[in-house]
Amino acid sequence: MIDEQDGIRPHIRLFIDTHEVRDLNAQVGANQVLHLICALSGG
Amino acid sequence: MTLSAAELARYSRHLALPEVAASGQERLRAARVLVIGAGGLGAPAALYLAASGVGTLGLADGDRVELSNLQRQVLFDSDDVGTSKVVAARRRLAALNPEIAVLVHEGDVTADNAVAVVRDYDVVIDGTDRIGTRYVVNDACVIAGRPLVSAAIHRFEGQAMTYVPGRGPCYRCLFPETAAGIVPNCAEAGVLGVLPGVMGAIQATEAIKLIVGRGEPLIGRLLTYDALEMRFQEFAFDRRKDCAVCGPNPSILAPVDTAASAPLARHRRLAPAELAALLSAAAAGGAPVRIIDVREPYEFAAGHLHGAQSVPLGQVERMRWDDGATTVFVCRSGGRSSRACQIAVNHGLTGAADLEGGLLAWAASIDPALCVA
Repeated sequence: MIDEQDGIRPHIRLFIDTHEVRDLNAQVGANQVLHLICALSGG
Repeated sequence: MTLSAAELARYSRHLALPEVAASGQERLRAARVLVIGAGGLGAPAALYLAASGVGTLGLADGDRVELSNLQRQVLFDSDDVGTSKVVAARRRLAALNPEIAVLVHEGDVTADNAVAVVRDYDVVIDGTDRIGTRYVVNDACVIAGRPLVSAAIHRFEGQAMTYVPGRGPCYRCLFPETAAGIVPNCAEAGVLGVLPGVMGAIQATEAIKLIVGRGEPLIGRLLTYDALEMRFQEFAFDRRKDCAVCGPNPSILAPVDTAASAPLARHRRLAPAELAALLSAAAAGGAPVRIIDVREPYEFAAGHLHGAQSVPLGQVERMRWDDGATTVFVCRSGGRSSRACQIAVNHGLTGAADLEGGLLAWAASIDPALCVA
């Protein structure tokens, strides 16, 4: 999920509740949900 | 041009909707929609778009209908197995709605032809089963300025988003890049047959909304569907200032097949005829060949090469490496075997190779009797 440069791999996105976060230091509140969304390829 | 009596009857339920009405139906008739990939997603999308009266429907696919497609690709019948997908699809869609024109592009959409293909259409539906093609289609739509309705499926999950030029983020804004092998396709991971029906219908809905000019498209919104939990969720995302294709300073000026250009560990790829020659030589007392079939056990059970050993891809990392024989990895179409080869190379197995095009290519050119699930 995390690359050698401590970045989020480009086929994975993080969302706190419904909003995207690009900063790995972002805080997740007590009532918030962190979603990890991976690109899918199937068709 | 006004609608004919036959069209008034056929589309009467649309005409009863004030949001569509005769003007919307005329827009649908004048519209040109391209469906890339006549698979699980493309099949329901094309059926609904044809039934809805989209005047010109393009279908792009280079595959033939396989028995394993029929579990979800509702465009096709058992009699179509072995037939070109786009030819079989055109026949079915023409029977469903003879008022529309169906254009076929028999072959793959590639970085070389994508812009020219999408430029002829008003809306593009991406239903491909290959991650690299998703980037090619996205780049082509951004460059040609065409709206794109993208969806993808995996096991019990689906995703959908819509890109409209100048109005929101593109697919690369969401997932800037990827590489083949990181993201499994349906043949590798499996898929619930009805899942693409849901997601393909969503794609058709989005296309119709864009054409008619009503509703809120999925612009800057990733819609996810979990069939097991029966839950839809929505996630907001923005344009990236550094997007390589739709950003203010794009580095991609022509479509790029990210997966194809990703660096892979070096290994030898054998054409079916080359593997056949190696096996013949081994049978005649030559250098031994060890065939490792990295498909799942149920695929192996349906049919496999004589003497092949079943080691599903997930177990390759733990297999016992033996440099005493030429190891050839095989799978259905060459994706998993390529990854297995990279693992082998990483373990120092210098003689590893894989079968290019997989067992599908083997069945096509060497042994048509081989059943490839």
